Amino acid sequence: MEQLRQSVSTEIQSGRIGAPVFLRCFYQISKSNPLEDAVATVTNLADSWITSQIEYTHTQRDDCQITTLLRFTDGESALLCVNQLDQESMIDFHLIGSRGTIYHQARIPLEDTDVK
Amino acid sequence: MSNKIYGVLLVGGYRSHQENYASQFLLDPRCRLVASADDANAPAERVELNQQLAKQLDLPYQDLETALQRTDVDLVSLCPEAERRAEIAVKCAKAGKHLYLDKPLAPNPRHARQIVEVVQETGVKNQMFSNVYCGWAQQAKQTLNSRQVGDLRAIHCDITFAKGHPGSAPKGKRNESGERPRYTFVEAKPELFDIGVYAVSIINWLTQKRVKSLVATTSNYFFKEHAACDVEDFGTIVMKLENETTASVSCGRFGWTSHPLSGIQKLRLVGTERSICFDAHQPRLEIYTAEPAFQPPVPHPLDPMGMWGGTTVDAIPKKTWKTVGSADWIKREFQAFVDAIENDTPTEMTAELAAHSVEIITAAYRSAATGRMVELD
Repeated sequence: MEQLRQSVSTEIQSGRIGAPVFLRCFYQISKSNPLEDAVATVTNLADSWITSQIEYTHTQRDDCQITTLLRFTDGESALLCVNQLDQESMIDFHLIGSRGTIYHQARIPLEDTDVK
Repeated sequence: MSNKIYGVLLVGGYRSHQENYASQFLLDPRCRLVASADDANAPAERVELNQQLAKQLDLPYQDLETALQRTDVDLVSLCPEAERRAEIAVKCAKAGKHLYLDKPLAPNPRHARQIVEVVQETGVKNQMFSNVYCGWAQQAKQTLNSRQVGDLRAIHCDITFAKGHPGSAPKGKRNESGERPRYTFVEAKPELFDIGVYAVSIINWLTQKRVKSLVATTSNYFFKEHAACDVEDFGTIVMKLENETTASVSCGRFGWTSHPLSGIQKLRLVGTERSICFDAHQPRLEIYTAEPAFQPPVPHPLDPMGMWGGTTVDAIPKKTWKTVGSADWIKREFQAFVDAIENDTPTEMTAELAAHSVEIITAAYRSAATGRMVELD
């Protein structure tokens, strides 16, 4: 996950997509991982790619999923959805910039989930 | 099956979705275009565009009142500006004509209610254009009905159009007023409404549940044209349905080159057993060749966002992604409406369902303005 975060950060720094403005991220984890930790992981991704600060969070949760809307101080936003199921762990996101978009979809090794 | 030929009256012309809808009705052997018409008080520029399309299709152009008296008109394909949609729909339904309705149904819940009331009163068939006949939407419906995901906990839909020349929006946060007193502009559209209606309507149709509360954002991320018209080019909504299911939507217009094809069109069902994603561009071929790469069209002064087919004819098409087996959904969309008239069966995207989308999106603007959750009745 750290390699993924860094790869995306490098592309952002290159200026190819302009300023990141919106992250849509689906993160699927197995039942052995806590939902809250996974939400923290994708929130950290959003926070590291979008330059301004998180100013508002709205979360809806139930027994197997959490959906979070983040709004940032300069108007950027993120929709993060984490679900906990007996399925393979995966991440599927698109990070939209003011002039382009990064798409990514991949299986994630269970042990590789921390982004600090 | 009867041998009846259904007479279609067109309301709307160039630079409206009538460009597409008229050609779809033309393809159905059960339909015949009989005339084009509009209200006597329609804006002069709109009348000119209507007349241009009528001329192209070799149709007479008439005053709406006169056209509605024609006994050879069975249904009306309605594409006036959103602001005039309810008034014209009410006249057509009262004349006993079936209504094929452009999206969104109306710019506000009051106008939407007028349409719902008149179709209930008159019993005419009605259908709003939507994505329900797309392969991905049909698959999602089958999956949901078969309970493959278990109990549905969340449904997420992203629809973003790859059109327009991005990178020109002024920096900074959008100051959302919460109201859309005007919907129709030459340069731009309020995209939470214009594109968000597809995503919201699909969620309504799939779940058949009303939304009870929501939180939303609107933004100006990409285009100076939207900012100048004080409408958003992007938006998000997180909803809670009446049965506590979570739903979320992201939608907007993000630029010609931000996607390999027409834009993001994805839906994800999350249940207690499984999560399944439905992507309009899957399955697909990916083709890389020595051909010239896609080039965005030069912005047309009367259509800088590339909203209409008639003003983007010089664009080099994108050829890298070719979706497998998706080409005929739009044909099914229009055939289904004629089937419903012919067989007296219900339509899928009724005015009533579409009116709830209007209610949701207008509530979303209020949430984006206040930054707070909005409860729906």
